[in-house]
Amino acid sequence: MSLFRQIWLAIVASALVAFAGSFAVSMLAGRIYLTHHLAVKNNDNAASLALSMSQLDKDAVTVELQIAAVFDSGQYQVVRVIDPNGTVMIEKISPAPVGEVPEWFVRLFPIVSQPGRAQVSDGWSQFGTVELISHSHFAHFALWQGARDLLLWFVFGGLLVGLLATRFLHNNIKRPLDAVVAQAAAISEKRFIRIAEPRPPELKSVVGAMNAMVDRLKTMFAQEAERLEALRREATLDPLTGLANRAYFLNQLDAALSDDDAQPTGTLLLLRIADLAGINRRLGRELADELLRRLGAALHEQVASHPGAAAARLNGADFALLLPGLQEAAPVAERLLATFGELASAGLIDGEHVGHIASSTYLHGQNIGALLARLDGALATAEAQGTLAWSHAESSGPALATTNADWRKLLDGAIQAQRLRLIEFPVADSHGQLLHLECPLRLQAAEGGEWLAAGSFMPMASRLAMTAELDLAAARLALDRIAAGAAAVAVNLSGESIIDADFCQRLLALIGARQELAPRLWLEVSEVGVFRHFQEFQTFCNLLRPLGCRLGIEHFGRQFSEIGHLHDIGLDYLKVDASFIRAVDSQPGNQAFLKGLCDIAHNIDLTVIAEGVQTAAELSILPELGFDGATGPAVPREKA
Amino acid sequence: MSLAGTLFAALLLLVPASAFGLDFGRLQQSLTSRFGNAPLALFADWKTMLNEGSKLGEKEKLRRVNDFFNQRIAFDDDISIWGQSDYWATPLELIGMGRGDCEDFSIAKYYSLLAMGVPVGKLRLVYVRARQNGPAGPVLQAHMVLAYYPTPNAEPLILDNLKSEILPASRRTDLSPIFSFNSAGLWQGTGNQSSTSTLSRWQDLLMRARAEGFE
Repeated sequence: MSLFRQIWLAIVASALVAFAGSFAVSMLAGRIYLTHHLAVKNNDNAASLALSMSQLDKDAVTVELQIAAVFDSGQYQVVRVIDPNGTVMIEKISPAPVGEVPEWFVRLFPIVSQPGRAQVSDGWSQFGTVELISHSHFAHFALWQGARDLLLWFVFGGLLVGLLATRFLHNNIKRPLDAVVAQAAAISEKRFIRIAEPRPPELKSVVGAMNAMVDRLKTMFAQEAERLEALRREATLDPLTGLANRAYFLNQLDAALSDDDAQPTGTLLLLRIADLAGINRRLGRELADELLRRLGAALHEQVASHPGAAAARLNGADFALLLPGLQEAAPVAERLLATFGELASAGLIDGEHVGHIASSTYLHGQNIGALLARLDGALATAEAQGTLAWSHAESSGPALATTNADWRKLLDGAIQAQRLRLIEFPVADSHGQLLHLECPLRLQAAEGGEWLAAGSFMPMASRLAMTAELDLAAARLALDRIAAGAAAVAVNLSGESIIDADFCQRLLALIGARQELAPRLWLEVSEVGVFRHFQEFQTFCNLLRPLGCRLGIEHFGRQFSEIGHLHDIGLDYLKVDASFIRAVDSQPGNQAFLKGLCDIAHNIDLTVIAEGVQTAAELSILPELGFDGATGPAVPREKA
Repeated sequence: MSLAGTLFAALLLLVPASAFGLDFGRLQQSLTSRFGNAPLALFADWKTMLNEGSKLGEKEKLRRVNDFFNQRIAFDDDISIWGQSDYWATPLELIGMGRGDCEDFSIAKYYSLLAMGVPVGKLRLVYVRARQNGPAGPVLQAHMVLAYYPTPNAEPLILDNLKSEILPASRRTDLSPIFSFNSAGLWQGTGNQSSTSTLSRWQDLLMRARAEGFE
């Protein structure tokens, strides 16, 4: 029985005991009081009757009339006159009226009407004794009314007190208690939340202790995250400009060209400051650094205005800008040319040559070396063109549906005809055992046509606000696959879907209908989607968690400093972005960062999985860093 | 009404009013605690009279009791004895003060006769109208006497403090009976001091006497 119910029952029980006690006492006292007064009344009335009889004639008619006058008042059960020898001379008896008071009540509280007696004399001689017994039903009626009134008041008072007590208990015990229980439940689910301290001191100290623990954890998180953020920057960023360094950028580029959910096309730009060594020599190191920082800032601006974009300082004077999904390089290139011009006007670039820009579009799956070689060629062309120039190298490839209208038709057709399927990649734990199958969605553009990878159509679906239908289809297919015997299946949900309340409800209904499969369903949202709409993601997690499905973030790592927010949303796993995993075996900086990331994630009971593991060497170092699982080409498929 | 009081009263209601028995030790204690040792001689004589008289015939008992009180107790009115206009003293109070009015005499005789074994049914306290000769002619006066009925229908003998001789009622033409009573079959009150206002003088007296030791 719950604590609240026990307290409530205790109050009810004590109220009942109080009622029963005071009811019994007042009934008993009332009964004795009434008995006493009935006896006094009998005595007094007998005395007055005897006195008046003593004064009057003693002929039979007068006596009879006197007795009748008293008896006919209706209050008497018995009026009799007994002569000195004990013989009854006159006797009048009326039965007790019935009805007003229940029989059981009369039996429970008997009131005895004590007879009143007085002597009647006739001169000096004795005439007899009068004896009066009043009816006790008046007294019983009074007692009965008293009992009913008392009961009524107790019911009324009891209800009032019960209502107040319930309200008091609810506000002062139940609500704080529920909050404490909810906090404890959340903590057991690894959601480290704070709650306001309740007023009852016992609960207050419990909540105080739990809050303190949560605070310590938060502080620990924040400190750890700060330390790791520093490590990450050191390992992946150029210290002067804050752009990615060469190694990290090549990882990002590689991922853009080969990851399954990467966009099908994009643009890569190379920028070179024409004579950095000369500037350094002529203007001094400080101005040269300022030049690099301002160019870096211009590139940061471009990254900020293009989702998914990345920029890097490749070496001393060379910069790169990766713009996935962008096919028209001209506006960006022209803006950057203008930046070079502004820097020259500001006197940060002197001398004859200013800078050169090369650009090229790329297709998913192209070779990274060939792409870089093509850009080198374009850069040479630009250098040949003048002091400040841009050259574009076209890459040949098949054109896809290009207009929004075409895409909408294509996506609609595929959804209507259910030309959707899941492909699967194994995700294995550190012993090679399957954790789950990661299942990206494939979409067939036309009947019998090519199956497109998620990266080809999801960006368009996102732009056209059509991700909800695709994500629901993916979840449905995943549940089918689990029902067909798959151990566990992970599907990606897009950030646009989870902010859609309607989508969340439909997904809830879909999974709820087959809840026995839910524990084997893993749902993940990309880091970008999560942190762009963090509030909605939290709501989404709270909604889905009770079903029992696993919730996670994929492509995690770039916004590592946000890890502090993850401690109170009750996630199950993180998939760390491939760009941190590429060549991790040879990059001590990344190793230190990833080791710390795994530690901190394990503190809140998150499973950490490495994405895009390419080589056996990468795979072998992961358990040492603390990873719980891995996926990618190097993870053997046959173990699935 | 306190709960304890009502419970006590309820118990007393169940006790029938029976013939009086006397506990002299307790009576003496009640007496000395209120009146000191002065009335002890009178008390001892009264006790002796009761003890001796209980072996005698009823006529003799009447004579002894009547003489004892008429000779040993002085007549006085309630105002000068008790400071109130009408006070019914118990036999013990009468002995303690050594003075009393007509009710006090009658009551003391009544109690004494009961104690000597005279049945309560033969005794009546009677309110009478007494006609006395005063200096300005006859005066009517409220008075109380004790009447003794040898049989229920017989003419009573009158024990009075105005005339020391016991006479049959027919010879007491100066007295007209108004109302008579005794304690037979009477509900005797509750013993609860707080409720005396609901009791008659007679019931009040019975209760006080019982408290002093007249059981």
